[in-house]
Amino acid sequence: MPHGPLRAQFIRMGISEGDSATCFERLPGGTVVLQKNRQQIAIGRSLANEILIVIVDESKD
Amino acid sequence: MNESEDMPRHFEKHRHVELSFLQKDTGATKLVLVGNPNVGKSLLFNSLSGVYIDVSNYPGTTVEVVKGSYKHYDVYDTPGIYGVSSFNDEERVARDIILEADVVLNVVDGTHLERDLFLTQHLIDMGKKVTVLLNFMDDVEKHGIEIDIPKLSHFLGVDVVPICAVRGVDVDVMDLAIRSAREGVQRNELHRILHTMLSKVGSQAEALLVLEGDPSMSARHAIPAGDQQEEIYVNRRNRVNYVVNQILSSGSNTDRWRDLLSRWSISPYTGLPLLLVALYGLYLFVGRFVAQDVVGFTEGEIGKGLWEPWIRNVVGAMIPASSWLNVLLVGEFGIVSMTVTYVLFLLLPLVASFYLALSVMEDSGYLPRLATMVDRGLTFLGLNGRAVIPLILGFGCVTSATITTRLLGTEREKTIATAILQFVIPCSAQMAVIAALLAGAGFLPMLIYTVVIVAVLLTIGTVLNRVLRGESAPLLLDLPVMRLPRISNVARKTAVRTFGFMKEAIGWFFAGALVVGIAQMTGVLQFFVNLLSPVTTYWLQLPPEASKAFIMGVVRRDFGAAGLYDMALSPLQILVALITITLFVPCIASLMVMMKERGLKEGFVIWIGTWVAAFAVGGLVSQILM
Repeated sequence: MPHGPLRAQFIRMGISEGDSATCFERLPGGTVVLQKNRQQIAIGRSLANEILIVIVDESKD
Repeated sequence: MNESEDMPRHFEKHRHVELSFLQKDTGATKLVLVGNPNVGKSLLFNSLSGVYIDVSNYPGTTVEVVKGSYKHYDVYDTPGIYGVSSFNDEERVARDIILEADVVLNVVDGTHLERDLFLTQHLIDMGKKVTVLLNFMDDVEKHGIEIDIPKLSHFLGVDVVPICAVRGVDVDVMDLAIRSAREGVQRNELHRILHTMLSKVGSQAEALLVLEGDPSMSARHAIPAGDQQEEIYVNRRNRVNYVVNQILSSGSNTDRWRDLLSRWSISPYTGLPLLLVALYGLYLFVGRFVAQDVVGFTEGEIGKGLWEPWIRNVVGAMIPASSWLNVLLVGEFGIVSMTVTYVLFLLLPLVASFYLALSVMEDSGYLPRLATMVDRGLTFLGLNGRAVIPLILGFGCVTSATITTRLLGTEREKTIATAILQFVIPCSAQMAVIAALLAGAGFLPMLIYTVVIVAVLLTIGTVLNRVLRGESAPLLLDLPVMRLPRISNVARKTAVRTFGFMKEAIGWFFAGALVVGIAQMTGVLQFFVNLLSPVTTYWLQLPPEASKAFIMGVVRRDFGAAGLYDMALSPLQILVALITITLFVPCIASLMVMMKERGLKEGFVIWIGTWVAAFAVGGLVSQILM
């Protein structure tokens, strides 16, 4: 996860380190829309690049 | 335990708050609505305080603060925020109002508890008296979500009242909610660290903000900003997640139609056609209905037909027609004749209709998705998706759009967006004339015009993105649920924004008219026209009268374009003239607002830049094609 105010904003919105979310939409060019519960969050390409994700198989959830 | 009550003297000693704005009317209890964006706060505010509301800009910001009254309470609406801090103007304004609040009504979206309860816990940690209003209970039921409200109330330590703001809220329920507001439950470890800071600061709310590293709070108390924000935030987040796990049995996370619509507006393959439909709708509403029918009536019938002849008579009866004062007041650029018509009967309907369209797009949840779709494209220009808002607004009025650039995250983005607006975006007043002239010129000139303008736009953005230091902020946008906009909300937003714009810009329009009136009387205007003539004739290859159109364009952009109407121009000359006038300097009100927003130096550089770009590009096209 990125540092500074952006990290704080992520935590406020409900996404912190170790959380899992689904990818609602991935746009050509790299902008990503994450979905967690009923909430959708758009993340710009450069920011999305900073976030380390681990792909979790849905069937294990 | 309420610590601030334990040390009243200390508390008073440290309350050097600069909020004269909120302290105008002491006595009444300050009731403040706080919540995340799009949780129905404004709707609730409307139903609480009715129509008697007072809108004002918070000092030093464009953030509008809406104040009303409900019974013996003063009610304040605050901008939607995710937490209390000072990341941007909205947060600073909300924070200051919350600090002053006697009672906080925290509006929470029942379908987004995990996100919203962070703010709730933040308010509780600040030691505010809170009642939680759990909104969208209809959606909660529809999705089969079950919330154990008594248990939630127990965990938070404050009352949780389920409501459905759309259907209206019962007065007795609200009264009880307000009366029962109280301080909630804090985590023990936070309680301990707060205690130490409290002895230095005196107010629990401010102590927490200092610990969380809020720079202005630490400056206020001359205490170094705390470095515990992350720790406190993570703990708060964990606590909220724990609470949500205990009280929520989640229903379905998907809503087929809303998800589909959301996906369609985000993905470029479906989003671009949708955007075209939206823009066409915008064109029909603003470009056809308002710009032609409504403005035709207000400007033509009321302004020129009734107001101007009347005021000319009134002024003429008092001041002789030959005197300079008469010319200044009701002459060609009369301050009380032409300028009043322009501002009230042309600009006001146009700007209001643009704000209306924007509010509908915003409240339906479409605008943030449009921002998401265009995000990547805008990063090439050094902007992020959010910049789509001022850019769209620019087609209405560049002056109002320039004010809106404040919502962008960094100075760099504000500069780039302002430059693009001032250089290439034609405002609605100008666009009507451009469209009419281009239609007469034929298809090829229209195509060349579009290509040239788009090329200039891309060049400006790309160059500024390279040249300006620093980095633009990446997009991080919470996409609200797609909903049918509420008429009352849209109407209020439109009114508030239109009013804000008029208040901010109206003086500049009159000042501009005054300057031009004086320039015309003293011959300065003619001097500049003559000065520009050689460039117009030899470099642009246009008739010498075109210089007057350009000079007039300095005042009002549509003046410039309209001046071209009466000239006998070939299609290529029309093309050159329109390219030049589009890129040419913004109107005088825009210039003034830009100077205020971006500073004298930057404003002046952009202004000069538009002169250079307009004549360079216009001249090049002319030299190549003619």
